Amino acid sequence: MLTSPILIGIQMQIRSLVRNRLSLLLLLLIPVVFFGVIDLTSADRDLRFKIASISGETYITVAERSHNIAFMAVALCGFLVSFYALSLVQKNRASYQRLLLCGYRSLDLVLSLVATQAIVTILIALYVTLLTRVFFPPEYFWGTFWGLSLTGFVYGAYGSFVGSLIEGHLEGILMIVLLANIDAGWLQNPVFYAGAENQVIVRYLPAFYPSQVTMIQAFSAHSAVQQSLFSLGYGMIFIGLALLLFRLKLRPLSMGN
Amino acid sequence: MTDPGWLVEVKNLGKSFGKKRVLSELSFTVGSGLIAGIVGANGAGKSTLLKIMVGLLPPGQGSARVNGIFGYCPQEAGLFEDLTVQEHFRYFAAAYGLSTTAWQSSAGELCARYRLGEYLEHKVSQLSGGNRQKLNLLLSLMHKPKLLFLDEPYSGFDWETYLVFWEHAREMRDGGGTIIVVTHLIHDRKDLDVLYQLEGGRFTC
Repeated sequence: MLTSPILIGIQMQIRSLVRNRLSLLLLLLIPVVFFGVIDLTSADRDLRFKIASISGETYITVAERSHNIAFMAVALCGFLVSFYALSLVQKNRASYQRLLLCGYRSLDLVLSLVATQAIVTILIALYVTLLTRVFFPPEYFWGTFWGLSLTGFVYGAYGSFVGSLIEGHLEGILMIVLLANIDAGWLQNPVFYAGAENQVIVRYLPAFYPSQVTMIQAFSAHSAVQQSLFSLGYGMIFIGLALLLFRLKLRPLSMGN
Repeated sequence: MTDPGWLVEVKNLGKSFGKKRVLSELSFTVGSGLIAGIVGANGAGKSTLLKIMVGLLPPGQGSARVNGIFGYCPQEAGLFEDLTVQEHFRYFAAAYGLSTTAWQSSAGELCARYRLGEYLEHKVSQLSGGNRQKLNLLLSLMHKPKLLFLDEPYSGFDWETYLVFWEHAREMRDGGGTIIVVTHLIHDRKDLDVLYQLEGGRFTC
């Protein structure tokens, strides 16, 4: 039987997630439905586009369907992981506060939440990558998985940040929808980006680097190390802010017990 | 460290929410082996006072100090909807630092006493209001604290459980424990050794 508070925390959070059957079903169904709709609506033609962070005049030509699926995979990972992270932090806020009051160390609690989120991110990214494989073969399967995991990491960290900052569930969801929709769900589309004005704005948004990693790994043989590091940096900033807020807001004033 | 002679010490405590003054210049100490009641009308500041004492809210003025390990049963339970009763005991045992043997024994005794044993494998979302409240109370008791803060701990209890609670409270008191209970029920008062009545943010008795 597990005795470490961190491991017990991870176990309890995973059990909570698995028992919420409807949300689990939605996690499985939403990518299938989205990819299905894209498959049915994409035209049978090739698309020529440039990936923003590959220098020079390197253009990539792929089927429009493949491009759309890869783009949607990024958006899906961003949306799903950030919603889960928001719920993980926000839903049980009073329970976490009570645990802390009872002597649970805030560092243990935070580590268990981060670990749970990491597990969920990896599972969602793996599932979405496997589904992507049904529609087209990415150039590098595990590289694409890595890019989607980074998207989940950055947006999961953003979801945790929002969950720590805002107590209201509706307000939290709106904050996630607002950013994820305009960023991962629109501006990071390589075709849109190529013709966009003020591209520097798009480059500073959270999904830019992880979506670049995904696109590079899905459609080219270029390296994505630099983009991966920037993604990790972006995620770390969000997660640092989230942890700081979480500890500040939930930590009881007296830890006398 | 020398024993200060009190378990709870409140000095010149005040608290406001915006322009609304909730507590004003409250001072008292609570020693061991008694049941103290905090009574008052809705919105009198009873729960706020309790939250300040346990450290969930900062005082506006003055101070509130607690000496030693305590248990706290909040008015709003703060339970995990998708975890079972048993899992709650396990999670909170990790917080209290109890060994597996200790928490299993303690949870077993408490569940038998409060007739919650048959619901150990039930998720909180499947429990009735009364059973949720029992779990809420038992989580604050499982580490056998000598000082207990209870915020209307028997809301939703049936009469029999209510009597079990007061019998248990008297046992704890007789064993040297101290219970500070927020209540609005008049017939509780016969069980209280000390009564603090809050009105307009101050004690009237």
